[in-house]
Amino acid sequence: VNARFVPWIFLAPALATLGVFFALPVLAALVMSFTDLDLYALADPSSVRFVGFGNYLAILNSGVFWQALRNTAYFVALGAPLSIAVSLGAALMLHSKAIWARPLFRLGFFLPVVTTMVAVAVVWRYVYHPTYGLLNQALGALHVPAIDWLGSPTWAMPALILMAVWKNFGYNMLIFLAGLGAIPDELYEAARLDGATRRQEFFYVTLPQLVPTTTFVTLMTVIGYGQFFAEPFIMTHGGPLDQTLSVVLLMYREGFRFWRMGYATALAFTLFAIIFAITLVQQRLSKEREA
Amino acid sequence: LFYRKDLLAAHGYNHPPDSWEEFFTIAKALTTDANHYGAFLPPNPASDPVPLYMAWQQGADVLDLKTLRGTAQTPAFANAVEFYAKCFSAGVAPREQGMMTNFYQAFALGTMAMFISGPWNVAALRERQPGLSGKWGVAILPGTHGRHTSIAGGSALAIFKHSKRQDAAWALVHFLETPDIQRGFYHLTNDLPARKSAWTGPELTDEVAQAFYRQLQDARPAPAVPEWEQVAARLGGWVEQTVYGRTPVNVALKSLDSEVDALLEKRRWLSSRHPGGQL
Repeated sequence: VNARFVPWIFLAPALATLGVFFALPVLAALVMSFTDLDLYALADPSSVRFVGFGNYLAILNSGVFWQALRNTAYFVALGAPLSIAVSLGAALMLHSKAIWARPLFRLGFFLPVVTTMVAVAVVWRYVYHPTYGLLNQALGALHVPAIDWLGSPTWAMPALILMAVWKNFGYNMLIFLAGLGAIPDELYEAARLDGATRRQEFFYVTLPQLVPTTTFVTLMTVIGYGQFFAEPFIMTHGGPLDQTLSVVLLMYREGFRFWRMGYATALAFTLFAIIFAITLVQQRLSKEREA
Repeated sequence: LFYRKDLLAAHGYNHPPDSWEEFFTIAKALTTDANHYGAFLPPNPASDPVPLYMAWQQGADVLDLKTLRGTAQTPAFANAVEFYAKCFSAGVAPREQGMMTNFYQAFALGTMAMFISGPWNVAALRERQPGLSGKWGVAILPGTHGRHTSIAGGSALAIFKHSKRQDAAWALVHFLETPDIQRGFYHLTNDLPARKSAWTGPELTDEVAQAFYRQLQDARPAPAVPEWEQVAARLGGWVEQTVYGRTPVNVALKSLDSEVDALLEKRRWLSSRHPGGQL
């Protein structure tokens, strides 16, 4: 056998799987996004029409899409930094030797990550209940008037963000913990010898050393939060006033409830393009910082 | 229309509202504080398009099945949406409904005195709130212009065009529609008979069943287009905009019409491809 051929034989199973389960479906979806494949096409395949960029233009002209995009941007802009900050804070706390029973806390902080969204949503519905909810009871003690967290167009999104941050921060916390563990002790020792305070140690040793970890965590969080779906799908159905409708929830509705597959796949590629562009900008920025 | 007889009587109303004006007056009288509202209405009425029933009663509709275009921009439709939005802006129906974790319990507690729903809630109410027996009743939907039109919900039986056993399927449909079988279903599942001739048994003469019988005389199905769900979703979305006072009614209805036009574009194209034929 030709030596140049051998690697291909070893790669073949992986390539075949990727081709069949990734490349082909993505290609099919891309073609679909230029057609008007819908319910009628199920009964009569000849009714499918090629519409060019029609679906994409319809998306850009749809008020609901822009609303969903604004909501998604709101969720990412508030949720991602908050989630990263909480993760970092928890990681620093668990990393410090002053804390007792660290494995127990690590387990506790990580439990929400592995709990199913449905169970979490049920519990948080009670937390957000306007009269009997834990949150309003606590706020009531401070004489804050009752808020219908999930029923108010203003508060529904912050309520979902709070829940999402609580559910997800444990994952990034673990990554930060690994990052913290990899910082050599010598650096801290040297800093202390130079007379650095705890504050200076954090800003001049810990944070710079965590840059690669933070870059990775930020990237993954923005990509993940950009696709948020389960929270509004279970808790609010996108309401009230479409204020918690995310792009992915809109895609689900158009595709699987109304069967407008052409339109829904076009939505999927639009979201992909947006997230891809944001990721590119992020990478460019972090490269510039390194240079 | 489900209503609390005792709460209405306590305010001097010994009969359910017959017109929408009366519905509003009673709801206003019964709205006493933030935990007691006269009525419960969905702010986004996508799955139960109450404003549409009100529009039907005035001879308007959301779309025209012949031209396949949106027809919501009529004074009658605007009236209906304006009235619906008024129920919320006047505070007789709550916009925020988080306190109603359990719908049946909320009805028993008097959180709302009236709500609009279908026969499936009769059995549910009897089963879950037995203590409320005798305190609630069912009436025909409030009306206007002498009409009380509501939607005929439920499900439809379909036979596939390409099925090889169409005769057997038709035989099953005929069997399921015989009056005896329909009454049997009512016994077993509380599903009201769709056939008027089945409404003769003694079990169907009670007050609640008779209210639904009266309603059935003036009920019409949703427009028979596959896009109906999408039309209803857009209708619900634009009505919600007016309920929160974010969009003026005329702007909402104009946007609704143009969205319905776009949704039905494919159907217009298909019907031009098969002129006169069935889709």
